[in-house]
Amino acid sequence: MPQLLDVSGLTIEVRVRGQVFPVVRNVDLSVAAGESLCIVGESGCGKSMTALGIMRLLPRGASRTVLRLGFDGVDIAHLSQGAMEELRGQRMSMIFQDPNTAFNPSYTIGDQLQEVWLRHKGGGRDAARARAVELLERVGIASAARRLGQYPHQLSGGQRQRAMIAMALMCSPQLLIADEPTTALDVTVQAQVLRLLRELQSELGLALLLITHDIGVVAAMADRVAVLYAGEVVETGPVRHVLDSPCHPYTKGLLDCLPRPGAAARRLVTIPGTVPVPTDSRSGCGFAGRCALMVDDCQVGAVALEAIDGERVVRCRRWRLMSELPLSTCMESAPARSSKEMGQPILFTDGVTRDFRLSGGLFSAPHFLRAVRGVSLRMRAGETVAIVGESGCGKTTLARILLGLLDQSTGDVRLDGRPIAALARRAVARFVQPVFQDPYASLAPHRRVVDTVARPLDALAVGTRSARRRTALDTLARVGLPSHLAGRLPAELSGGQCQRVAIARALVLKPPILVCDEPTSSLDVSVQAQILNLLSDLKDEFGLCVLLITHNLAVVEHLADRVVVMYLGRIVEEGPVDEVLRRPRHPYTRLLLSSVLRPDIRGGGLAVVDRDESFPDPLNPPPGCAFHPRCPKASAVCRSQDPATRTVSPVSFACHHPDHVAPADRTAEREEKRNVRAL
Amino acid sequence: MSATSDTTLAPRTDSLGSVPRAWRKRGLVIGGTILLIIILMALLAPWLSPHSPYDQDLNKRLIAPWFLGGADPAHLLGTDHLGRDYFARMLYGARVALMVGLGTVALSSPIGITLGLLGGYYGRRVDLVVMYLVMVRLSLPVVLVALAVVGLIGSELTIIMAVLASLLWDRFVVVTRSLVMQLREREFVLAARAAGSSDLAILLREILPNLAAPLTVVATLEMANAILLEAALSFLGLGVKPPEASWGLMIAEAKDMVFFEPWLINIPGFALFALVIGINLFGDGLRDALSIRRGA
Repeated sequence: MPQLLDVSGLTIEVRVRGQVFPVVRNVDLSVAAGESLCIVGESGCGKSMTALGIMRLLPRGASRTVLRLGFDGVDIAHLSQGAMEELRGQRMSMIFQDPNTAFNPSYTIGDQLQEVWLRHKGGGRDAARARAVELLERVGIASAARRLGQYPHQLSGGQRQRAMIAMALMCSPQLLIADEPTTALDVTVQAQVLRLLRELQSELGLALLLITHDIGVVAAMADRVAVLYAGEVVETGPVRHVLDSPCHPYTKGLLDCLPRPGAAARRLVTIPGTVPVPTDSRSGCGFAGRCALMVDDCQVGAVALEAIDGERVVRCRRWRLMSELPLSTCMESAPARSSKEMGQPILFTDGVTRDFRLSGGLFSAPHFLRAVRGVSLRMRAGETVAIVGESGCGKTTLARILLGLLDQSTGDVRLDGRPIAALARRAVARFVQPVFQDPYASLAPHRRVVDTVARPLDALAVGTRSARRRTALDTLARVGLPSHLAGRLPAELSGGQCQRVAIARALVLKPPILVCDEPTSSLDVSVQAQILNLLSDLKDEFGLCVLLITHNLAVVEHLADRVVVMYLGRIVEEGPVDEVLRRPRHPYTRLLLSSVLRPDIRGGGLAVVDRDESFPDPLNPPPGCAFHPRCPKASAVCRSQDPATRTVSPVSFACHHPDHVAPADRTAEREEKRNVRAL
Repeated sequence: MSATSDTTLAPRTDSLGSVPRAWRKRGLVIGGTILLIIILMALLAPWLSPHSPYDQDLNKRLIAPWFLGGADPAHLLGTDHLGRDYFARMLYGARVALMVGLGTVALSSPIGITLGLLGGYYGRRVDLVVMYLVMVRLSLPVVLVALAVVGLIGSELTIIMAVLASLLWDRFVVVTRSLVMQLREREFVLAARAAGSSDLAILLREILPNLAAPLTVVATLEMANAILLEAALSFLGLGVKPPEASWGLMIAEAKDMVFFEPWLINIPGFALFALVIGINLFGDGLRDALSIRRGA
């Protein structure tokens, strides 16, 4: 097959304070028309730099050498800037990660789409406009003509990313480079966008170069996979081979450390250590320090790529020994989920509602955004409860109320039986502590790690200064942070290490409840596994009660005992994890589950989700069941009546037409319907 | 924010290496040198010049400085129209300039930073009050108000500093407030609240340290501003009173002779210029040296 893009020997070096470090080393890639190649790897492995190097859009300070940068039979490595500009946008285009920043907020969507066309094709505005409307419709944006006049902020995140795709396709390029196109999106929207990309790809015969860290995305999208580690391609091959029988220990490690649905093992495999930074000097295999197959030889001399068969290439001298990779270190099985007796509820909420006042204009009444609607929640000692839902469903607001950082508008929140409003800030602090998503943002940048951990003790003035410091050091040891790092600043630590510090700070007061708001979603998979293992160890050790807020259902299944599904501020389903995830009662839970990309389901798993404009406006929620505009089972009742929460042990849900409910309950449902009709 | 940005190329290792990096900043070195020289001149004034800045000698009026072929080697920068040693007056003028600059900022920065912290952190009504005060302040023309107040109360150095300080806090408020509004939503501030820290502790220990770098720059700008305003007030005759020596006053006293003996104005004018530039360069360099490099 003739290759559309054919890169060989791409090396990118970055100059940092006068010294030059390679971030991409001697990378060979090729993509044929109509093919999709996924580049996968952890952060810092040089994925984005590779993409920018191909587009010749490297940032200042980065320099590139390449043997051949072939595009459609022509070596573009030495084309003039002008000729390159003709290519970009017209024959090769790019989609970026964050749809919020990829559009210029001061121009309308239409202007920005048409500009691409006018730049390359010239001609009249009418032709450009017609093309823009055509593409917006193609990417599933309703009333496209009207959308052209709107500004980026008037579109939802998913719509914006689809508009971005439309913009990239304006001139029908041959090559589309997508750099983490769905990482900033909700799972449901991710499924939409990926499905759209795949349809467009087969329809237009696009070559797709997709960069991702998510094995689920790889499984859903890729024909071939290139695994990048520390700037080098360590393995390339067809997706089924790479994911089913990886030949490089790193690929295997990446696959093994994913929490998988249904896996009985409670401890995840981790890859010891972290990705080497480009400034480290090294010889031999870059993965040697983290590899179970490592022998002394691995640290000497450059490791060459070795062909396994016609399609597969691996950069490991010992790949033939992959089958010998000791399983014992991988599958350290821990006791299965204990169905321990749960104690009294230590956290209790009843009908909690929170409104945010959005100021209206000078003469208009203020709006109220109801972020949380009548949430009733119970947590017992030692229990882990997960809250899931799309962004904007009120998860974070609820967490902040429970942390005492926000007051509820109405309703009752009790910690250990006492209303939270009556407790002093310090008393709440001893009871519940947070762990946040972004490990760097959650540590004060000017403070040394050990002082950060000692801060909660300082605030409560516990014991002497030196005793507080000792406690902090003990806690740091407990979360597995090497003691020589205690005097460092957060900027000197890796993301995983910072998250350990944040966990230590939360634990130092020995609170019974930990509220973790997306604790692993900004971490790499190998680090995510380490943090999840740490959390489950700490749970057992301290008998902690963890409230886990996440969008990652695999993490929920791995860590939680009970799951709470929220939609538009309301709990729509709640129950034991196994029950809810195996047999969802509420159509929304089903939708979430069907949007999850699973590494073991190849090329499928992208459910058809959502008509375009059905995502409701939280300022003006739909009448009746808030989910009805997106619900395949919506009926007249759903449009008029908000379903009450019903409990059919062990699950409670708020839906007029639940699945998996025993016939006896169905009768009740029918009677209810009859009553409604009678009304 | 997401972990998946691959462009974290800057190594997260040597943020403690800020001192050597700072010295590479030429501005910091040049500004620091100028400042140091002027500070030393001010401190060592009695030892550097054998003359008193106040002693008049009408026999030795308007001697040109050495670089203009001045006749008297005892008077390096010559003498003014009353025969006072110009070098001595420059040295003592440096004292006034530095005192006004430091004193004013020492008084105005606590006002501005406090208001900015309160407005930015508490928002809503508190912020409305703070912004109202800023607007009142901005509607007052500094020179006119300072002239009026100094004219009414008197023109001791302390009064000048107090008046300037009460007029030059607005930039501290604006900068502090906008930064606090961003910082108060940051997760480390939320974590401190969740850990039971009081508002005061959060403002002083979590938020304020992160403002050090930008506020340093504001402080240097305001210092330069205060020095120039003092010179302007003295020039207008309502600042430092004769026979005290102030650079602005020296320019004022020489203004009749601007066409005949221009060096009388050029020397204090150049000194003012050098001091202000030195302070600004030093402030910029300090900001770069202070700012902690963050990961991600």
